[in-house]
Amino acid sequence: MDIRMIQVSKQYGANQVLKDLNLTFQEGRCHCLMGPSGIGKTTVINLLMGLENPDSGSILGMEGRRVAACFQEDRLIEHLDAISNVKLVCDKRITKEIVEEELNKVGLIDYIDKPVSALSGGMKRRVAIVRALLASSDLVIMDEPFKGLDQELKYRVINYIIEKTKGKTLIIITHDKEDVKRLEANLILLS
Amino acid sequence: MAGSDKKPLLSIGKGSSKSCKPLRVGVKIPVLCFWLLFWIILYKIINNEIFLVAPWTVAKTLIRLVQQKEFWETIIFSFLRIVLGFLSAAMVGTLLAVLAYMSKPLKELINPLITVIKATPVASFIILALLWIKGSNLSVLISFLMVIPMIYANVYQGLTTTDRKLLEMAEVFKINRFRRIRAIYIPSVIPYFTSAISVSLGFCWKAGIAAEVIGIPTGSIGERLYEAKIYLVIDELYAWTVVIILISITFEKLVLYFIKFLRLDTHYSDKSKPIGE
Repeated sequence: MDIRMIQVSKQYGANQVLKDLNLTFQEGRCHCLMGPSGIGKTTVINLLMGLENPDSGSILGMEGRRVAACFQEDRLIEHLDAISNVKLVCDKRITKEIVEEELNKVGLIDYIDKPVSALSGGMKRRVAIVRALLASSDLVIMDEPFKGLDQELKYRVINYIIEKTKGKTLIIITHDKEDVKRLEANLILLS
Repeated sequence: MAGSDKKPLLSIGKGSSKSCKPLRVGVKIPVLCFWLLFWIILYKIINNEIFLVAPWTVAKTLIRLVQQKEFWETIIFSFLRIVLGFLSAAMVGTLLAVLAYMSKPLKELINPLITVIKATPVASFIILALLWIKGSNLSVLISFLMVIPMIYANVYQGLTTTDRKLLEMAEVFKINRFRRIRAIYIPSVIPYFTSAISVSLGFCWKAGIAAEVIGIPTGSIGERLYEAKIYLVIDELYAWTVVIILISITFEKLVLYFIKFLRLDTHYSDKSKPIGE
């Protein structure tokens, strides 16, 4: 079932961020949300994740969905290691060995058993991405997942995302049109 | 992120830097010698054993006391009661803080009670309690009442300062309650709880012994202190004071070590089992 935002408005104090927004996210496809800063991209995904409620309008197609997310600020538990951070959101079928293997796929080999507070920004980002992709879900939402990754790593991570989200609905916020092409995504431009 | 820049309501003021440890040990002995010397000089100046006894007299009295069976029975009597009051307060205080965090009406209900307990002078409690309960159990109640507001306030503070972004993350991923408590809430509360424990332990010993001195339960440290004062056995008064200080410090160290041990479990060191295993 597609996800539809119908006439959605959201205001923070005097700041009207979204006004009568209509959007459709097709089931099982990758969608890239683009637009200038402050246009409301993060607000759209916060509404989809249920972290905020719209002032008016409705969001259809979210009932019973299992959502996984890669937030703008990683939101990792700093005192836990990378493996524990990932396993925290996974069911029991995802073993330590599987997580280790998946972290290796995005270039994380060393330090995965150390607290994530010891990792660099780019490493933390990749842990957050792997966490979002290994969690049991049918909708994956990612807010600027490639932030802090160099070109080579970014392409590696994009390929990994494509591999892990087959059949899932994927919504990614990005500022780079190249990402849209590589992800073969449907571009949604907020303006 | 979680708990990185939090300041507990009660600070124990201990640095965690391992590099300071040899320096601290090296400094402790000269500091101890300085205060011992200060005591001796003061003793020489006052030159009256009624007001101040010599450190060696206290040491001799202590050696004599530790050889008596009653000495250990007295310690066990007071220790069990004060520790019982302390542990009950730690449990009830934590439970009340969790309830207050979960429900605003409950918080409104609990807060006045805690405020009253905190503001009431310990002497009032002791005199009132003497009317209600047996003198032998007075120290249990008084320790309990001294500790509970500190534990409550700190645990509540720890809960309310839990990283909201992590809680949102847990909500989105539908992380179950047990994992949330273990991975997010406990690490957030631990620094506050540890500080509260460290400070309240000292208070609970002082208040517990004060209650015993007033209630004079048979076989308690308070009774020994009272008798020492009445019969002017000043060396025993000092010796028992030293004993109380030593028990209080030792117990505090043990409790903090135990908390640290539990905390390691939530920190997932190299050898620990990852969450969900």
